[in-house]
Amino acid sequence: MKPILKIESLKKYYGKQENLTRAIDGIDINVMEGEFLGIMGASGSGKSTLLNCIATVIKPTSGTIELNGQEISKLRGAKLAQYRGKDMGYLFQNFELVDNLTGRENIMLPISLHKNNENTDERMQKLISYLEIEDIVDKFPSQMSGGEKQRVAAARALILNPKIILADEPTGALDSKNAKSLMTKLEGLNKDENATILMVTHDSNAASFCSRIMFIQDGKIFHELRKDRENETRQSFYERILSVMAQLGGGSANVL
Amino acid sequence: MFSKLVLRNTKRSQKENLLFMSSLVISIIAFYVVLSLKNQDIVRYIQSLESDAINKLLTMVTALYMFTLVVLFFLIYYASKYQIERRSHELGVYLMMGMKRSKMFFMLLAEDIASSAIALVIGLPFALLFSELMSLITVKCVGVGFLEHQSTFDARALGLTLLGFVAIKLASFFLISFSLFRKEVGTLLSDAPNNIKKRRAPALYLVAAIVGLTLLIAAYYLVIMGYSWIGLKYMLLTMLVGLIGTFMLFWGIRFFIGLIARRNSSKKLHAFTFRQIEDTVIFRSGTMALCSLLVLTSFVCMGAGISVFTSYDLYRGHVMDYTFRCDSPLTEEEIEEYKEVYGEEPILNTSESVTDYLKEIGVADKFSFIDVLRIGHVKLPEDATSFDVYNMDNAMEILSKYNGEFYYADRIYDINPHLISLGDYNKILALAGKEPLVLGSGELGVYMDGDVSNEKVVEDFNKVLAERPQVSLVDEDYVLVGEVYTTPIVTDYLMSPAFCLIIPDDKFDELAQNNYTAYLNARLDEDKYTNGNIFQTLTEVNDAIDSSIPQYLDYESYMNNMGRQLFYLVATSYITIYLALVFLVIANTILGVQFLMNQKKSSKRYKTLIKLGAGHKTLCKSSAKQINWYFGIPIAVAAMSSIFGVRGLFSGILSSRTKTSISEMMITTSIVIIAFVLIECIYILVVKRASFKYLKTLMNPEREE
Repeated sequence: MKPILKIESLKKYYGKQENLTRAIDGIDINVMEGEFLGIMGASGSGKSTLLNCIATVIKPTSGTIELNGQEISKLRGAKLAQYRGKDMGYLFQNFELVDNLTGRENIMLPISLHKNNENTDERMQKLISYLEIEDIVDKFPSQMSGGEKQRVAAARALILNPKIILADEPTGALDSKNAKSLMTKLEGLNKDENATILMVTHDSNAASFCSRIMFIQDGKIFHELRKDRENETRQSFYERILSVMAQLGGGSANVL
Repeated sequence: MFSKLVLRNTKRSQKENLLFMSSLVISIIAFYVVLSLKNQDIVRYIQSLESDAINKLLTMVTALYMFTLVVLFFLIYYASKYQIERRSHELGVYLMMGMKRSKMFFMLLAEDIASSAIALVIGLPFALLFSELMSLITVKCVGVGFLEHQSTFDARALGLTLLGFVAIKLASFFLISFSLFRKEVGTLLSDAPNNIKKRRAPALYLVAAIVGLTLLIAAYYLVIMGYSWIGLKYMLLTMLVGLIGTFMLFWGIRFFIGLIARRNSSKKLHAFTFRQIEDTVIFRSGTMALCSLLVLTSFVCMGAGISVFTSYDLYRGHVMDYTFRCDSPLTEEEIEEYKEVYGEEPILNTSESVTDYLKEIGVADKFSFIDVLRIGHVKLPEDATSFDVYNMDNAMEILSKYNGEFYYADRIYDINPHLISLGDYNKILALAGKEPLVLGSGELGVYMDGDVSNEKVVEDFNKVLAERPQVSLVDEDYVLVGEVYTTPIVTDYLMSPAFCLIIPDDKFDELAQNNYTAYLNARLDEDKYTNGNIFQTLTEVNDAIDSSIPQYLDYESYMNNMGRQLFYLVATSYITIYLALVFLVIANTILGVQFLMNQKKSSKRYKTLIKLGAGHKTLCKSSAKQINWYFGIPIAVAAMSSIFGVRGLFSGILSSRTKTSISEMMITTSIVIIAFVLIECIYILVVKRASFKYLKTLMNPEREE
């Protein structure tokens, strides 16, 4: 397996010397193709900064981020737009659906923005039926429930078959039932379609669907958990996550 | 600190909102132009001709000023509202930081005053310049370029401009702050989301659009067929049908926009762009319809104004330049009676004495024609018990066939009508270059005042004459023949009777005897015009007569007539063009401001698009398209309606007043269209610029915690 996203000694500092904030202080991550990677951490741990760097919203102070061997900080103009819209699919905590477009029109937005000439109808149908949104796809967001909105948003993030999906607290605005159903779908996409997903969350339950979890604290990788896919149940993985979360407050000395 | 904040904010507002600033400047110019109207050279000139015009003008200016005040209040109100609403977040932050509401109020007031001051500094010089230019240009256009130019500057107008401007600015400010301060801080801090409007079945919108369009077509039909001009009732009906049609069309138009939005298109952001347009159409259908109607009114006013101005013929029906009213000749007995009462011979202005007088003061040689026309009545015996000498019942009966209610009967039917002798009238016809009237025995001719409002009467009466109706005059039967003659018998329309019988000379002498008034008509020799300018010649001759006017000489020069016509011309074209521009500016400002407000309200949508990788260019393209449609729909509907509106106007009221050839019409229309397109382009450009600038501020898609 080769890494699809390669992050090397990434640093992001804010402020001047006396008042320096190290939001990210040297992070190395390799995201493998077809991996479902979770990133967990408390508020202020730097996980949002990391995501912003990957999404090219902010520029890192030093270090490199490579997608498929292409360094993204060097992307400009059309290539940058292509990276943002096509190579990367983004799933937002608050769905970010355009409220005056129907579900279908929302899903079509990336196609419309990035002028994809490939035959997308088939993929659209597949995603709609997989995410079980046939009945609501022609409604407006205001007529959908939170779970439905997030599934439409997921279809939108996946429509252009991105190389990697960045999910930013995708269950943050959902109740537990909808959250579980969404995570099941994402897990299914990861397994069946070999979709690479990088998810930021602080919901341990949601994280238990991942195949690997990185814990971040104070801008550094603090711990890593790997799920034994064949032999481990989600329940036992969840308990391992909980115990790491319990240690997070007490410092690295207490970790198992 | 406080004043620094005020200054910074004001400076930023100037930079950010060109639209706001220009609407302020336009208001100032509009006020000053109206108020200084009476200082325009052409208006001064009219005043010197027609003192009556002063009063008319003053009422006109006052009414126009009031109207402008009200209308521009809405303009400023809208523009200021947008200006404040776009800052609602910032104001919320001030409040959160503990700024007192009273302090914020004063801050906003100070900013308002500062921006008003800047607008005045920019606007007033423009207003002065504009008014000055207008004065110079109109004088040239009308053909009275020999007038000495005087500055249009007027301190009173300036003062009133200031007063009016400050008044509406403050009024709108208080209104806006009142609603602003009732809002909670939370509402200010968050961008108010659009309320989701209930969507009805698409078929309903389609039906509304079709019904609206049908009503519009019905209104066009009424206008084109001339029904609208029959009476007030029909006019109101046409307007009502048109209004309802326009509003329904705009309400239903979302159906078509929805169709376009759903159509598959490979264009970038096609669905989003049209959903945005659909949104504005849904939320603002009333405003769009209103703006469309404003643009239509503006179109029609502009068309009417410019065509009146370019095609109004001051020389229409111009035959005589002067009419001197001579006294009726007296009988021997009447002279005796006068002597007994006053103890002296009566001094009469006879046609001979007036002619002598004109020679004396040296103007007689400027005339190419001087002759007498007598207008009289049948002289009744002293002991007459009945004045009923004329019967035209037969003719009136025929007339009633052509016009159900002959509401003008009392204007033309007189039991003792005015009489003109054929010989006198034929001289005037000859002067006007027309064929003389020939009457056989037992035949009478008909003269009617060529006053414009009577064109329909003349037309109807011609049909009556074609049937050779029988009439009786002093117990003799006659037949009315020929066509109605309208070549004026005196210089001024207002002095001439509405209806006269033209009778052979011998009959005139027999029936009227000395019961007539003689009018000495004169026409200036065109070869002897001073500088080839009729206005100047008339002025000189008038001055010569006025400087040594003999006793009781009552005269009228073509100047008075011209003055009235000129007043009509200037008043009509000024008012219509002025209103056209004001309406146009208002419609465009409302459209522009509303678009920008909507865009701000849908900022979240744009932010989502940016997160999905939309570039500034793509968003600008979408926004530009939205603006084109948002302006385009109301303007297209207005343009469609105005084709019929302007045509209706020409066929309805202008045709009789103006002699317009097709080529002149084409030139006029092209001028209007070019001016209009230019103004629209400027507005659309300004709105696009503001929109692009706003989108630029959204471009940083930072993740919110």
